[in-house]
Amino acid sequence: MTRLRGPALRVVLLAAVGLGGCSSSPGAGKTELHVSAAMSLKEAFTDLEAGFEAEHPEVDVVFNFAGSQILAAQIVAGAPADVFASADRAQMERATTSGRMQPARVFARNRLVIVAPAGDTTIQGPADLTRPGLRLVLAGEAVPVGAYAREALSRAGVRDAALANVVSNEENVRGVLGKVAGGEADAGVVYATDITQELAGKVRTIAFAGADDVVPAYEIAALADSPQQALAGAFVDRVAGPAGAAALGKRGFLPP
Amino acid sequence: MSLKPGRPGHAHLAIGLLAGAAVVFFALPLLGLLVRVAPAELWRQLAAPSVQTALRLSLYVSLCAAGLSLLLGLPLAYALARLPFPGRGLARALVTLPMVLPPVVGGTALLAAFGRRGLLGGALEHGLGVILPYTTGAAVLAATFVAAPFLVITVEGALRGLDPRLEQAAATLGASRLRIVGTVVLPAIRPSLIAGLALCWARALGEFGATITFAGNLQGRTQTMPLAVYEALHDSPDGAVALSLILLAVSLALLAALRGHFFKGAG
Repeated sequence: MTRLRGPALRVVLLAAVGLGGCSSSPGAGKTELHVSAAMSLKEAFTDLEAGFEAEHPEVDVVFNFAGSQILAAQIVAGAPADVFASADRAQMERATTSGRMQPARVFARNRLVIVAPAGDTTIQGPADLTRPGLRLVLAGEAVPVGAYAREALSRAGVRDAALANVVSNEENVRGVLGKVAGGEADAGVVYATDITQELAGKVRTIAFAGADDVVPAYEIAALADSPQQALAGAFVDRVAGPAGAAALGKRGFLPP
Repeated sequence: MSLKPGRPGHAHLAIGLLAGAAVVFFALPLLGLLVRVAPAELWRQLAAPSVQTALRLSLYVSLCAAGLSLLLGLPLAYALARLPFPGRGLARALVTLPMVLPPVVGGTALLAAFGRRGLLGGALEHGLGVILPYTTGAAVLAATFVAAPFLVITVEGALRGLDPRLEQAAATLGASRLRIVGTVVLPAIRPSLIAGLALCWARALGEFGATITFAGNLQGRTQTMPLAVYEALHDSPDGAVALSLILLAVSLALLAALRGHFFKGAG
């Protein structure tokens, strides 16, 4: 049998080491807790991170923020995660079909608003979203905020006319907000909590009249196959407990 | 560099192992697509109106982009290869840039130019009443932006390799410049032109990042096949695989049709 020696062996080893090096992630020997969370939770959860890590110094919380439909699909496909926080029940239920989810609980609520670029004066309510030629951006149907927005347009009795004005279906709520803040879209529907200080000067927020009974509810659960059950449970408890309520409240979320 | 005599076995074994790993690396994902979807499911997907809409739009957008690339790219390639003008190096670098630029950056740049608050966007909207973003036209522009360089670079390379004495001979016989291009240059570079056009079209067909950034995502208007695949990945993973297979089939057909142009002399 021919054995690998010298330069040839070095090339093969180098390739193997390179591949190994690329696939392991950086981290100073801490336990990583992977939290998949709805995009709209980004600021509130990031606020919570420091407190949790102070209580668990051996842990590094790693967030995966995206539209809940993407996170649910990742969980169904077997992606590693320890905690999932969804912006609606539908996507939590979809994740649950994987058989990997612990029972979920509602930990916060939100409110829908209409946004327009700063300086706009023409939009007063949902009825104005039906104006011919208006460029409306929503999140896609499977995205929680997209589903809530369609439901709210329905309640307001303007669903079909407003949907005829949609020029793009975004994959998460921040995509909608970005298009409006950038002035490319005339209007969009997002959560009240998405208007961060940074964006407050770039968009005008209009109440979504008639959508009072469409109340976005966030659900959280640990994954049953998480190798860090205790930690995952502790994170869920923190989010659903007083510390979580304070952090979420500060960012404008409503109590469950 | 030469291999040390007496030890080619080791070198060949190492090369063979890595080359084999490369083949497996490229083959496995394709195999994965093939075994994931039953033929019946594939047929069902192909018949779905939303898929046909996306496929039709993709063909339309990519063919328009290839046409636009030809219209603008052919003269550009000729200018880069044959007409000495100041800033030619800069022009070539600019045209090549989209090949190495992340497409999402291309989309952002297109917005900065043609968006409503972009360099030209305001003038377009108020002067001509044209708002480009979120239109099929925007999808065509996005695809052209990323795909045209493939045509330009391929054709320019062929033109540089063409013996200028052919054109000189035609000129001494009294042919006009346009006539020379039509009767001497274009026939001589035909294989490269076809290959460049095919590469350009394939790149346009696969365009994702610049499209979703500049043109958005709306069924029937800007949701091309790659965008439909991405969306389906989160709504119906099997559908995404089926859609991917359809795109794969189109790409394979293209490669098969062009094998003579790309791999001259290969076995």
